[in-house]
Amino acid sequence: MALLPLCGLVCWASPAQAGPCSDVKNAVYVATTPAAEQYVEKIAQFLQLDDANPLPVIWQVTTSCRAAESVVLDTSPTGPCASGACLKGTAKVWPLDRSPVKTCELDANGTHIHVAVSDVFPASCRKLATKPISGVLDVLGPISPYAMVMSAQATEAAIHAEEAHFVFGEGQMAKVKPWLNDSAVVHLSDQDAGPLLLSPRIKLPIGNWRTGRQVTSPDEVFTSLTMEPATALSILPTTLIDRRRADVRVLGFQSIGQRGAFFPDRKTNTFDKQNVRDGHYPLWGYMHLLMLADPVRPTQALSLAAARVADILSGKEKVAARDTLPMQVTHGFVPQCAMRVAKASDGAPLTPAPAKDACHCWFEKNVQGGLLNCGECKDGMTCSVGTCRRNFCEVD
Amino acid sequence: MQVDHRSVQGGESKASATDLRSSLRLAILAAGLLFVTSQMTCAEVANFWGEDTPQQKPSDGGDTDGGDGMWRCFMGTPSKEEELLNRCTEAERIDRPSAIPPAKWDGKSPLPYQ
Repeated sequence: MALLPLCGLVCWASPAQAGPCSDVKNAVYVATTPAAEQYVEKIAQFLQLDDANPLPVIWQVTTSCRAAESVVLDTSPTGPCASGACLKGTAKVWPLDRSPVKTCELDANGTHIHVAVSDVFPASCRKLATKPISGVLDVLGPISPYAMVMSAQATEAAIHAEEAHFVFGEGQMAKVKPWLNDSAVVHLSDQDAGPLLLSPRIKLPIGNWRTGRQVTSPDEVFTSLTMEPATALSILPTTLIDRRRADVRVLGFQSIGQRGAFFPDRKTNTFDKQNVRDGHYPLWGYMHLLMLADPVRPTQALSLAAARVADILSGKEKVAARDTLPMQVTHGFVPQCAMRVAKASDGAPLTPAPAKDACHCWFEKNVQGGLLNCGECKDGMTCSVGTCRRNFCEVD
Repeated sequence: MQVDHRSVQGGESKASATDLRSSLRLAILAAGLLFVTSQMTCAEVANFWGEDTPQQKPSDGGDTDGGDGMWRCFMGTPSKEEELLNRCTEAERIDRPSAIPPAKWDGKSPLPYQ
């Protein structure tokens, strides 16, 4: 019976014949950033096709701020879409026959979104910055690092925050080498998490950005980088960069007041995000899972199905009997248990924050190039130092 | 030959007193040195900023730390962002001078577009 609401999906033969998403009954609608698309897609697959209590998920990829707006501005969740709320256009869904992901069309007047996946705090978004946000739950998921990138053929190794201030604030007139070609500086938009996370770190408010040709997709960013290998510059999530390390050169970033530039990872050829985790590298955001709150019980989500999806994405709940923390790591995120620092807003300074139920050893063991100097404690063996957690002696 | 045991004893007493004074002087000197050294060490530990050998020397001789080729990293338990950013680490570090032309920005004035 649980599969019946999905029966319409198997009838779509190709994206060209995409039907309305509303054919899928009782679906949870998710708006996600490009950084989290593949993670959302994987969770949707397990939840819809393999979970004992299946739940269809329909998702659309958009910018962090557009995703946040679609939920935060939704003042009439059961009625017509309020201004700025909901999403229109093409979305994606898993067909029941396990064939590749298919597309479907959202309502022409807008479809209400149940969960927004954003890499920035809502207050970082221009349309949401002016008034206090109420009636919305913000569940913090894993960490989504970002990096400045050039072409793989580029010779530059790092960028200082002050240099980025001039490159994005003044452009080629500033004569900061090698970034002397304004048309080669690209980003997804001022609603994208990349520029929004970089802005406070280079002391350049998003409204003061003068340089940066807007492109529509991460693939277009990668293409643009190859067109101008010596000068092209952009910022992308490492969840996407790490899959294409051979195509790009990740730049070290030197913060204001920092002595030297650091990569997100310990070395250029590792994937351990050590500098993100210990506070040497500040270009990262939390994965925010935004949902409307129940007006009667404001600590609970208005939609229980949405709350379940958010709990699965954040790692609090399993999907298809699977722990989602390993999936976060596989998709390039850093679980909160592997962090040693925190921040209260996107522009706030980093502060030391020992993780609750730390998983540093487990994380290092599960990433390419991670350190392997932790004690193991298989079969519930006790640790001489630290606490046995996920088969490793973790020191909190 | 008679031996005045008292004088011998007295001579031993004098010698002992001299030894004692020398030992005391040495002890005071050693204690003084120890005190001075400990104060220097305490001062270094108190600000937790040490010097590390540069992992990657800038190719053009530039140095953001004042030209001595040393990286002053934070060795203590960090409590604020500056200490986190500059904490000693074995991670790869890129040290090169700023590429902003001096005529554009002097490195100290507030950034123009903030």
